[in-house]
Parts: sequence; structure tokens; C-alpha cells
Amino acid sequence: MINALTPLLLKPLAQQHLPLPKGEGRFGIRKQKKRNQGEGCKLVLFVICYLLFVIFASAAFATDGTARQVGLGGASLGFSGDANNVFSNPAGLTNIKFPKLSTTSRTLLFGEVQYNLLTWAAPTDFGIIGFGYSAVNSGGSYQTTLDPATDRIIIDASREAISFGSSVMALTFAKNIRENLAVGGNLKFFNQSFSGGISSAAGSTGLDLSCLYQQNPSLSLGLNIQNTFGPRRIKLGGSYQAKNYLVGLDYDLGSSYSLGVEYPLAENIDLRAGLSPTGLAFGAGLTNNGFRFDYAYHQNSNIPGDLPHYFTLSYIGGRAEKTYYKLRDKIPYIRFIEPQDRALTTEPTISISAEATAGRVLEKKQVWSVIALSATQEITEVIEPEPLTKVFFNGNELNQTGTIAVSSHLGLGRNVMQIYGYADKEVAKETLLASAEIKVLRYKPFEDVKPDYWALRPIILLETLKLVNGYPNNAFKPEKGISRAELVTLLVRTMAVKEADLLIPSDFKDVKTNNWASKFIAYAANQGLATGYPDGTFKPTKVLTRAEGITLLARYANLTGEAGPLPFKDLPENYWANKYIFSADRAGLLKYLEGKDFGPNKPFTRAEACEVLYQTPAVQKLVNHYWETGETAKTTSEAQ
Amino acid sequence: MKKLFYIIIIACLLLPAAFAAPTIDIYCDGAPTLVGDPIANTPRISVTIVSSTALTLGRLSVYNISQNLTFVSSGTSYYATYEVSSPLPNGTQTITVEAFNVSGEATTKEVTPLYVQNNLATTVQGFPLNYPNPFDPGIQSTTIAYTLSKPANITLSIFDLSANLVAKKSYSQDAAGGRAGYNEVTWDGKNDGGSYVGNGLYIYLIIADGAVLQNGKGKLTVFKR
Repeated sequence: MINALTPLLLKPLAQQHLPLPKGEGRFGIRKQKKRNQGEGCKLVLFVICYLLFVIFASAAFATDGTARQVGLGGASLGFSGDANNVFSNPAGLTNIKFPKLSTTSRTLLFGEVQYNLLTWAAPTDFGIIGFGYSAVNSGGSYQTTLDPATDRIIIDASREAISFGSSVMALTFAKNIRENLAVGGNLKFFNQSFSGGISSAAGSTGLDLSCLYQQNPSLSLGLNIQNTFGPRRIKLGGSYQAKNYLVGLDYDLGSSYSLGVEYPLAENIDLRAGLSPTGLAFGAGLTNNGFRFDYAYHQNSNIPGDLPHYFTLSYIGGRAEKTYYKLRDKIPYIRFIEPQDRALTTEPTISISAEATAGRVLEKKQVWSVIALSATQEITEVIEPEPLTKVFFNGNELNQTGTIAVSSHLGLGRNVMQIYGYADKEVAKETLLASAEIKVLRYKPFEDVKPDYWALRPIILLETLKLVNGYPNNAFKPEKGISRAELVTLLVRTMAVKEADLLIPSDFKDVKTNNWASKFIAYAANQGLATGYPDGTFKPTKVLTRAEGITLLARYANLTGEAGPLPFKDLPENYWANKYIFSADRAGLLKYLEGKDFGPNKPFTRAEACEVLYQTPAVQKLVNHYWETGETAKTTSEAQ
Repeated sequence: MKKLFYIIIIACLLLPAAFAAPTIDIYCDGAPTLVGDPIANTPRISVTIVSSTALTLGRLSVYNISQNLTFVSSGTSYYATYEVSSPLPNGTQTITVEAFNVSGEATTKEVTPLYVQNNLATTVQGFPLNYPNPFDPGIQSTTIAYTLSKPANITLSIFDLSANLVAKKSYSQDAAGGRAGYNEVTWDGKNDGGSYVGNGLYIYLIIADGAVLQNGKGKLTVFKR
């Protein structure tokens, strides 16, 4: 039977597996797999134990139930979570988390009756199911006659003595119908048979109904109706948890009562006492590894001199969790925390913080088992941090590991910082290397470009790449409108042409040959980047409007096409520069205007020009090249 | 010839009755006392004599007592009672009754051995038995019989096989059920709640002074046909 039900035994366990810790970052869980395994062999051990128990424990017995129940004076409605609840209070089974099996075997009434009790219950997806079997057997009831000589009663030697057996089998179901209300019931099949002097057998069925109401965490109330449609037996009762004491009272409407108290003396030892009309009872339960042995002492006052010892052996289950770790691999790990890669600073020294550690890749095996029945195994690969054995910063060994803090001098321009770390790979006995690198640019500050200036990064980088220059006195004048000559110069500088090759002077009327921008204007005009006015002028000093500036830059970046929907509400639908603005916006050049009006007629500032140019792919390429190698694309002559 | 043969046969059968010696029955505390029975140490001894001829004298002897009996007669039956006032010693006793009729013929009844066991704990001698067994409550009662070694206040408890107490009866030591010797009590098959019990085996215990007497347990069967 048990084997056939193994899937049912396993099911609740699988549902109740413990949640795993969530992995964070690179440490934590990498992968996991899970499997269940039966431990049926241990159950075989239990069955052997049970058989031994039946042989050795044939002492005397109680009216109903297990040694635990006897120790509690017979009170059972408030003492739930026991397989024996199958008979005493089916609704109480809803408290069980594991399959339970309980066996009691003994003799009653000075050895005249053999009593056997077996109960089993298991939680399932749809409720608790249970099975109970209880049987009493006795024999030797002599048939008699009257002695004709003395008229006294004598054994009728011509007829066989009578034996009788009575058993009940219960199929149990219990379920929580509300959070604090459980119901349960038994379908019972009675069987009675006479043998010997009478040969007769009879069967009947019965129904038990019970409910258990959890008034609050301390107080539960129960009702149990046995043989609902037959000679009914109704019990009301409950239990109250007062500190560690669980006190329960059953009142039988047949005017009997049972009062019991259970006290956990230690983790695996319960002490019990009970009172009923048949007298006081004492008991103890000893739990070990999923099994419980119960003993009770009860001298039934109705049966003076009968054996007062009661024993029950139960499998009560219990969940054990064990975790095993096994080192699989190591991963060294180094990263800079502060400053960020490609940071800009004006300071000559910089504080560096970094993390230098290794990750231990561990196989973590967790086994949850319902003792002696089943186990769920989960194997997870987790990575845990471990200090590195050696850490070098820019070639110097640090006596730090984990989170590192050092400071470093910076030269003007691009500075490269590196951390190297080593970890011993215990698994393969080899040394593992990890490294991290960042670059920091120390620049000479402009008076009018503060470190928090919105276009600091494009200005500094374009200046570093010598695409744009400041003014004397350490000024950049970022808010100054850029002139046509200045922007054209800026653009030509980014192009793949050496300044020395720019020989042809401009032939615009208003651009004299000796104008510092003459050759840039000529090259730009030649490349179609900038056009003059119909009257043959270039107006080099004219400050560009934003629309004009963006148009120029869009042409520079080869961004041309049809206009589309624009995010700027202040631009008229047929505005002449819409197609350039649209293209530039789509190419991500106008990030700095996000959420703002376009303001087409506002002067196009130097800072804006730097920002938009900085976002163009051509300049991004130059910038990346600089960060990686420290090389500026090309050097042009000093200009204003 | 054949008729004469029958007459002789019938006459032979009737003659002993017409001319029989008196029959004597001895009772202790109301129960017929037979050889081997226990008796109390202060028994009330009753004698019943059936005699077709008038009795002139009766004498009872027990231990060192020899007592003439005074009869009360009813037809051919003669009754007399004697109460032993000073306790009989423990051990084997004999009760002897002699009866003499008008023609001087003597009839003697001696019941021996009888046992006075006042020094020992009360026990049940032999096995308690009930008759009829099985019995059908509602139609029948059953009689439970047991022999006590000495008078005792008896509790008779009847249990079902789950050791639930079904019925509990008490008998005083000077009444039927608590006397020394053979006791008969009846049970109608009703539990203490007043309803008839169901089919099955029931175990009864004979309890005195808070202990089940030695041999004081029996099994009866209720079987409704």
C-alpha cells in the first residue's frame, strides 16, 4: 500500500521546497537542477521495526487510541497532527505536513483481548487522505449447560467455545475549507464475526464527521460526531496553548470527559498528563529521526490490576535540510569603482577605489528530505567571493585585496591605470590572472568652463584633440555665438586632410587671403560643406543661428533626407531647415535639446557646436581612438 | 401377562417414592451447599427436608456445634435455620444433618469437605460461567455464576472488547452475588444507559476490595438470532 502511494507522499514535499537565495551580481546562483528521490528502503526498516514492536509490545491496552492519547487522558480533539486523528478527530489531520503512520498493538483486559491499531495519513494537493484499521479479537467464551445433578452451570463440553472479532476500517478525508476551519470525515466499514460455537459474520458502514475551528493561534475548538447515522457518539472539545503547555479538553455528550496537557520538555521529548473518569494518566513521547515512541501509564480505575503500560510507535516524519558545497572552479575578478573609465579631472592626484577579488564557483547541493521517505535534491552552481592572492596597481604590488583604495598622480592628458590580480586555482593548481584598466584625462581647465558645465566633456575632448581652441587668458567663451568661419574651421579640422595641404585661399569677396580661416573656408566650399551667398560673399564673421549651425553640421555628417515629425513645437511646418534638423535629431546629435524648444534663430554657441560635433560618428571615432591610444587624430596649426 | 409386567414395572418405580427416606438439602446463606464449596465462617445454615412421614427430630452438627433443629413444616417439606454465631475456624468443615421420623428411622446428610477460608484473600473457585451462553438480550437474561471463597462485597463489571465499561453491578457480601460459595446473578443484557448491547463477546470482571479476584474474569457472548 505504501509503495503504491509513494507519489502522493512525495508530492507535498516538492511543493514545499524552500526558496533559494536570490543571486546578486556576479556572485550567486549560476544554474540549478532539482530532482526527487524516494527513500523507500527506510520504510522497509520501519515495517520491520513495526513487526518487532508487535511481537514485543503485546502488553495491555487502552479503550481507544494511541499511547499519546492515553497519556492525555483520552483527550484528542485539540491534539491534532497525529495519524491517530483518523479515528479521534479527522479534521485535526489538516495540520499534518508529512505522511504519518502510527501503530499500536497490545492486549486488553488482562490479556483477554488482542487489540491492533494502524493509522496512516498523508497530505495531498486536494486535502489530507487517511486510512485507519482497528481490530479487537477474543475467544474462549464457553457454551454452558446446567448440571442435572446439582443444577449448577457447567461448561457444555459437547460444544465449542465462541470466538469473536470486530474490526473497523476507515477511509478518511480532511480539508481546510477556510483558513481557520477544517472539516474531516471517515467512511467506516465495520466487520464482526463469530467463530467456534457460532459461525456468523456481519458488516456495516458508518460515517464520522468532524470539524476543527482555529479561533486564534492559541485556541482551537473541535466537534466530532462518530457514527453519524448510527448509535451516535458526540464529542466537543478543544485545546488552548498557554506558553509551552498545550491543554486540551474533550467532553463526551455521553457525559464523559478527558482533560490532557502536553509539555515539550526538550526538542524531542514531550511530557503528558491526563485526567478522565477512569483516573489519572501520565505519558511521554520520544521523537527521533522522524519516529516517535509514546509511552503512557494509566491505571484504569474500572479495571484494577490491569497492566497500566501503553506503547505506540509512530512515523511522524519531519523535514531535514542539509547543504553540501564542492569547489568547482575559480574566477578572478577586478574592477575599478572610482573614478569611472574615461573620467575627466583637473586634479594632479586622484583617489582610486577598486574591487579585486575572486569568485569561488561552488556546487551547492541542498537536500530536503522527509525523513525515511523521500528526498528532494537541488544542485546549484553558486559563486562566492574570495580574496585574491596578489594585486598590482600600475605595476606596484598592493598589500590590499577585496576593496582597494589607492591614490595616484596624474600627468596632464590621458592617464592609464591598471590593476592586475592573481588567484590560485586550487582545482587545477594553476594561477589565474585578471585585470582591469581605466583611463583618466587630466585637462587644463578653462576659467569659464566649470567642471559641472553641461558641455564640459565635448569641449575638453575637442580641445584635447586640437579640434577647437580656447581664447587667451584661459577662456573658452562657450556661450559665445560661433561664426561661420569658426564653425567651418572646426569641421575641416576633423576631416582627413592635413592643414599643410590646405593651400588654396578662398575666393570669396569678403574673405581675404590673409584671413586665418581663408583656407578652411575654401576647402569647405570646395567640399560642398559651406556655400557662399549669391553676392559672392561668405560673411565669415556672421554668427550662425541654431538652424544654420545644425544645417551645416548635418551636411558635414552627410545627414540629408526628407523631413519627418519633429519633437520641437516651435518650428513652423515648412521651415527651411526642417529636413536637416530632423536628420540631426534622428542621428542623436540634438540630445542636448531634449525636451526644450528648438529656438531656430538663437545664436549657435561654441559649446553647442562642440556638443553636436562631439556626437557625430566621425568625431566619436576620433575620441575613442584617443582614449584607446592617446593619439590625437592630427595636429593642426594653432588658431585663434 | 403383558399388562401385569407393566404394572410391576410401574409399581417398582413408584414404591421407592412412597417409602423413600427423607431427602435433606443444606443451604448456607441461601445457596445450596455442595461438597467442596466454600462457606462463610458465620454461615446462616438452612435445612430443607422433604419427608413423606412426619419428622420428630432434626439435628445439625458443624465443627463443635451440635444443635437440634426446630422445623417449620409445609406439607411434606420441613424447614429449619441455624445461624452460626461464633466464627468457625479456618479450614475444612463438615455440616451434618440428621433427621428422624415418627418410626424412628434416621436419615443423615453429611456435606464434607466444606472450606472456611476467612484468612485468605477472596478468590473465585473454578471459572465464572454464564447460562445461557450465547444469550439473546430482550428475549433472555443470562445468569452469571461464580463461586466465592468467602463473602465479599462484589462489583461485577462487564466490558466490551475495547475495554469500555458496559455495565457495572454491585452485590453486598450478605446477599446473592457476594456470598461465600456458589453465587448466581443475572444480567438482562442492558448497559448502564439502559439499552441492550450489541452482538459480541463481553468480558466480565469480578472485583472485590479494588482488585479483580483471582480467576475472577469470564467471557459471555451476546448473539441476537
